[in-house]
Amino acid sequence: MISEQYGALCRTVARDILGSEQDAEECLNDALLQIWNAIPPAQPENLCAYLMKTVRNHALNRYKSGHRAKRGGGQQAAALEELSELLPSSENVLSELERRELLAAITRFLQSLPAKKRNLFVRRYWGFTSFSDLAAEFGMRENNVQVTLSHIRKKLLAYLRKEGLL
Amino acid sequence: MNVTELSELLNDLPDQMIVSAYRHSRTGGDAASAGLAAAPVSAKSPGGQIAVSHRTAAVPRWTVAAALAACLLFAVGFGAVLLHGNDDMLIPQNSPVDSMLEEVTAVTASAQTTPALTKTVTTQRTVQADTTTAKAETAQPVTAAVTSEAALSIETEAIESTEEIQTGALPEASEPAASVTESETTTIVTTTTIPREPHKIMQMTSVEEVEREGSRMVGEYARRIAELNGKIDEDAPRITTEEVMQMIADGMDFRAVLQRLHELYPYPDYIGGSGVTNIEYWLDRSGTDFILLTIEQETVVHIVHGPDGTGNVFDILNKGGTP
Repeated sequence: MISEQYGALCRTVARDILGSEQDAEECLNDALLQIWNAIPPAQPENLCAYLMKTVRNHALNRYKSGHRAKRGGGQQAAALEELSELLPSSENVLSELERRELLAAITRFLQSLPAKKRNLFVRRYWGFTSFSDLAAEFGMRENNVQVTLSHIRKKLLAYLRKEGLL
Repeated sequence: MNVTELSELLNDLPDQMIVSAYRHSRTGGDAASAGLAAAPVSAKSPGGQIAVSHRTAAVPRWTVAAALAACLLFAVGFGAVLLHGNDDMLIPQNSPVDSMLEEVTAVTASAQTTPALTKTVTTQRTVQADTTTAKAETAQPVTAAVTSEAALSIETEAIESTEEIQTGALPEASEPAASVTESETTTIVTTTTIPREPHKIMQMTSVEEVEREGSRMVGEYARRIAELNGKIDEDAPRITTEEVMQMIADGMDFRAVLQRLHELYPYPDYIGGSGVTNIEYWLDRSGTDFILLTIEQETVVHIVHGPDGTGNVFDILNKGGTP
C-alpha cells in the first residue's frame, strides 16, 4: 500500500541517484523492507518525507558501494561539489550544534526563495537530479537551470557569510 | 566539511520542503506549494515519473487562459441576455473553480463593456465567494480543505489578473482573496506524537541503542553517546537554571546564550527535532527537568515534567523569543 501510494516519488529519488530503473527498483524494495521493520517504533511526522529520506540513504549507500549506472552516475559528486565550496572546509569538523545551526540557516534561506527556485535547489542538491532532468521537469532550458542554480549558490554564500556561519 | 557530511546535512532539510520539491516541480508555483506539501501523494504516472495531482494548482496557465477566454465569450452572451431582463440566468455554477473563473471573467467583461451590468454580476460573485469560504473552513477532512485551497489559489491568480484590467472599478473583488489566506493558514498544522522517555536513555549501555532511540526521537542524545564513548564522565557538570538566567540577565541574546552553552557544555543531552531544532540540556540524569532551546524560535525555556509525564511546567526564560 505504501508502495502504491508513494512508490513513484521514492523511485524517482532512487533513480536520480543511481541512474537506472533496475537499481532504483531494488533500492526501493530494500528501503521498504527497512521501513517495514522500523514501523511502528518509528512514528514519522511526515510519512512521505520519511520514506523519501530512507530511500535516498539507501540509494546513496548503494551508489557508494559501486552500483553506479550509465545515466545519472556521478550526479551526486557533481552536485555536492558545486555546493561544497560554499561550506566550511573539511579540516573544520562541525559539532552537532554547528551542524544544526548551518542547516537551520540553509533552511531559512531556502524558505525565503520563490517556490520554483527552492524546488530546483532541493531537487539538485538533495535529490541529485541531473540538469537535463530538471530542465525537462521545470520547463526550462538546461543552461537556464545551471545559471539559476549558480545564482542561488551565490546568494546562499552571501547569506551564510552574513549569518556568520562561514 | 566533506562531501559525505554535506550530503547528510542536506538529508535533514525540512520534510515539507523535500516533498514539495518533488510534487511541484512541474508547476513551481508559490501559491499552492506551501499548504499542499504535507498532503498525501495521489497521482502517479505508470512510468514512474512524478505526475501532478489535479488538486495542486497544476492547471497549466494556458488552461486558465483558455477558460478565461471561454468565460469571456460566455459573459458577453450572458450580458446580452441580462440586458434583455432575464434575471433567471443568475444561478450559481456547478464547480466552485469554474464558477469562480466565470464570475471573475464576467465581472471583468461587464466592467469593461456595460457599466449597467456591474452591480448585478458583483452580487452573484459575493454569494459564491462566501460559499467557497465556508467550504474551506470545514477543515474536517484534510482532502476537502486541500482541494478548496487549491481551488482558491487558482481563484486568487485569476482575481489578480482580473484586477489589473478592472482599474479599480469593483472594490469587492478583493474579498475572496482574504478568504483564501484564512483557509490556507488553517490547513498547515501538524503535530508530533512520539512519546518522550528520557529515563531510558541513561539506562542504555550501548551506543547503538542510544543512537536508535535518538533516531526514533528524530535527533541525537549527544551527551549519553559522549559518555558511552568515554569523551566525558557520567558525573561531568550539568547546566543549572541559575546559570542560564544569569546569562540572560547579563543581556546576552539567544545566539550568545546558545554559543556560551555550547562552549561550556559541548554535548547537549538531546539535539534534534522535526521542523524545528530543539536542544535540551537536562538539569539531572532523569531528564524530567531541563532547559530547552529552540533555534528557529529563539526561545530558552525551563521545562519540568511531572512524575507521570503530565503537568509540565514551562517557564520562558528569554521573553524576547516567540513561544
